[in-house]
Amino acid sequence: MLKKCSIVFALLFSNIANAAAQSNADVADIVMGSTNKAYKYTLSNGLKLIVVPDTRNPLATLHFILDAGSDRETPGTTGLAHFFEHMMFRKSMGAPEGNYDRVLNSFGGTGNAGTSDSFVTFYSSFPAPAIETMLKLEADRFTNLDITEPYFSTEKGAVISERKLRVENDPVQRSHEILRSIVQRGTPMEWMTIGSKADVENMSLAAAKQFYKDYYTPDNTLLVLGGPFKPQQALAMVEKYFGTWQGKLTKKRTPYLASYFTRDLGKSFVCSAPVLTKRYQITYPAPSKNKDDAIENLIYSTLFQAMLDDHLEGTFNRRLVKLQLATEFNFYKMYWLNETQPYLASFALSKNQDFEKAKEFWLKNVQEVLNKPVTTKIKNQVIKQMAVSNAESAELMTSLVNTVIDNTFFLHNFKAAGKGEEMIKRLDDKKFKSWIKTNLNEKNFYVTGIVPTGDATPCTNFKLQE
Amino acid sequence: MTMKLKFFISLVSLLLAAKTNAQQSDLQSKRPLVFSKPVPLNWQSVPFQSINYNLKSIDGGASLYSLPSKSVLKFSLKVVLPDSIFSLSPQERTSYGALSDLLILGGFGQLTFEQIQNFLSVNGINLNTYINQQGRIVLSANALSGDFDLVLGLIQQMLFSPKFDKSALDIWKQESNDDFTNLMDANTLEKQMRIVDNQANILALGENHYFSNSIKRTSPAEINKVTNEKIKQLYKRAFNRNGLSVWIAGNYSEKNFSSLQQLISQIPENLPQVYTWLPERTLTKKKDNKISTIILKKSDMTQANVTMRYYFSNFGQLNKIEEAQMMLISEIFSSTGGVVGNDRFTKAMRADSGISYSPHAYFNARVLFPNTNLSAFQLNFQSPNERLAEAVAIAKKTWSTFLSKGISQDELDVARTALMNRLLASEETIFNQSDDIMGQILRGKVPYNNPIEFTLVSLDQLRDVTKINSVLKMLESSNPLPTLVVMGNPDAKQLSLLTKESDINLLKELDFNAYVKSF
Repeated sequence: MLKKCSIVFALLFSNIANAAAQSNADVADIVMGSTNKAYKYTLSNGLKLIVVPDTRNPLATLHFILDAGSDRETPGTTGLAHFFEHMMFRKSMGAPEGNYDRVLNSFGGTGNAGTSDSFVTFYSSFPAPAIETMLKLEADRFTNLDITEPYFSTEKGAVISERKLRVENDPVQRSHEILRSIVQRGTPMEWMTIGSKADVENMSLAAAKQFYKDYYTPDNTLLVLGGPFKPQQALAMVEKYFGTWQGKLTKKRTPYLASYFTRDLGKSFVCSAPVLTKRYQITYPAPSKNKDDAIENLIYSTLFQAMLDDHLEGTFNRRLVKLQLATEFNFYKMYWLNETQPYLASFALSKNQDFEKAKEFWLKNVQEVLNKPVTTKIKNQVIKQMAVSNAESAELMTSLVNTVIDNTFFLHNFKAAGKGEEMIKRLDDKKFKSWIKTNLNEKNFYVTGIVPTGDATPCTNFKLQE
Repeated sequence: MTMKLKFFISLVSLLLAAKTNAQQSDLQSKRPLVFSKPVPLNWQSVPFQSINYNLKSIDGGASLYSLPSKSVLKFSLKVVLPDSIFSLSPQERTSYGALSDLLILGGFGQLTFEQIQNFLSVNGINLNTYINQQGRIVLSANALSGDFDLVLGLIQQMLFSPKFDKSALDIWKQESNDDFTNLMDANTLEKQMRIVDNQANILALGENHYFSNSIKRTSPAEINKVTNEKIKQLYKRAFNRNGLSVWIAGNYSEKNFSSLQQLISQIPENLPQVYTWLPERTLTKKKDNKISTIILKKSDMTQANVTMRYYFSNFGQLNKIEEAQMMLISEIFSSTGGVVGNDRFTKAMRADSGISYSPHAYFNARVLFPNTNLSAFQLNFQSPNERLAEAVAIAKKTWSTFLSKGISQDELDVARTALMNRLLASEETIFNQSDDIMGQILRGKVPYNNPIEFTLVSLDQLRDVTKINSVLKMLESSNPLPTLVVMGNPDAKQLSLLTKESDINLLKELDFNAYVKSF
């Protein structure tokens, strides 16, 4: 298989090699233990391109990620980022409606897209010989999208259906939407990515066109191209189709006020919905600080969790279950957000379980981690788990592409491979303990909860108590 | 050699085409790329690599399959026990699920579950158990290649000395009951569709069928009946070399392989367990041509989740050509390629009407797996409560028009080429190839070493639209059992509009709270 691909593409690219720009790439490992490397370029219009050459399968992937998520919206146009993601599949100038899907499908490709608070992403996989066709097709929609009726209005129906499916039909999500509007008040995180029902229904063509102009710009886009391609030749192809893409990102984010991170500390926001399981979340607000902190925060939270779980009586989750304090537990950092990157500890409880006891147990265990030494055993364990995760990523080209996106777009470090391992090996115990004290401080959190009907004010009537 | 030459020629033609395109690109650069017809890729020139798995028979009835690769960093091991849930009485089936879970949760050797968890974390080993589609327990492990001996040690202890701690069973019951409560929250699409699917099975197969009891089997009443004695009894039946299948794939040494072989040969050889797949294969008798319908009303849902199914009981087993035909028919009716509006179903339910965000339909040839005598075409979609009658009418009409009027040559060519091209876009690894071959063998099939090439050839032969339309006519005249299950909150007007249709037979209207209480 490997031999086949290398022959195909060495020949294929000899035709366009001369046209390729002679740019020097920034080269990086992707994961430790893999020989695959990533090659980074920046086009003159600001488009960032990373090529991940991989000849194991005759498969290519194109993965676009833009800083054009729902935190770019304003009240009145909520849901626009997600709605726009839908519109990207409908029509380009001069092409019939639904053309993108038809061409992609005709090559046997598959693709999809997703929108979050902080990004929108479009990705497709297809047989590698179709790369030029796919780049042209992508360029058509990124540079010449046709936002017109009746497709605009018809797509509203699908988005409204999706909103019902994901939010309105789910009492937990419905209630979460209300709680979120309270704890994230005054910020672009106040609304859910899918937007309010009213805003989606009243979405205007003019607002959609403005969003496209403002945020679908080359300098706001990262394109990762994976497959059996030589980096320089892939660059030449991307330049051919995206080199003339115009546009500049001029909108800047407004940093959150310092009071956002402290205003709700110690508070509890609990309401009820027609559910049988109680769900609580402890949120430790944390600013995203600077880019250099991103990997460190992620590694420290991984190490913290390993230490929390390292116990004779079992993992933290297991102990909660055995003591009948909760039925489920999760801890993670929301490292993908822009202005805020909180740490979350979420709990599910059965009807007769008391959250106060679960919370008390959590706080006690955070304290215990703080008082434990970071042993060599724990360090080796975390490093081993990273090695396993790296080996899994190395198996698939598409996983390597996802790792590149994680490193570059979210962790802001193209050369992140191996940094985590290095950080654990050279861990400064004092710094780590100080990180726990700062980020998981027993006074620096607020609680949100959704409990069964009758146990609290219904979420539909829930208001902020100033 | 011939293959390579052919491949080279095809490349030259591809390059010539690319050059011609390049020469014209200046003229056409402003023009969008518009779909006209799919371009068939030259799959004949692709030298598909065989999946060269090996079978080592082990005296006493065990089979050891292997698929090595030195280019990966991990290995994967799967031990498939010979007994099956389908060989058990309905009363024993929940206990069999408990056995699967407690092989790890109950501890083994000198280790408690908590110690096992810790050991796995320290060594980066993934270890779990599950029941596969054939109702057999699978012990599954994967780790870095250097940790083979550690993994084998764990598997050995799990097989030879499970502890089945009494306290672990109590925690298992507690967690299983919590899981059931979580399911009954029915807050996500996944949970709602599990309940909808269960109701569809009841309509088609009757209240007592294995599938119809899939939710009841996990209810507190059944969970709380499980005893440690029963679990141990089931373990004794399953701990048998006779009929055992073991799969190893990835990066391991010959020494590793020998150790594994030795371990298998130490498992006692008992009489084989005789099991059938699914003994209950009778479809509910059809009284008329009406669609048997159940409405499950959940008052807080603003949108209904719907499944409409046509069960066919008289196809017999599909042959390879028929399988490929049905694959194409499914693709034309509802594409799996993530394409909105390019197939009949999403065009009608989403692109044209804006009713449904993610409608999907498919042909299920193995409703009673793997007995293919019963198959079904399943149409799943969402509908706003206030448009339910309209949504059901559109789905029915789209389906009946599809069968009665058939497809065009163009639709056939587009779907066939798209499906074939998609096969060329698969991302193969040694592990998914091993799983693919394992799936075929466990289903009792003789696997093809080049499965992608085989499917390509099967599809490539299907060029005659009249033959495909004959299959659609056959579906139309097969007198299927139609069923409809709706979970949502349609109002009286919608229900009246729905049920006044002459082909709808509303059998049950259930309130969701009452449904939950029934457990």
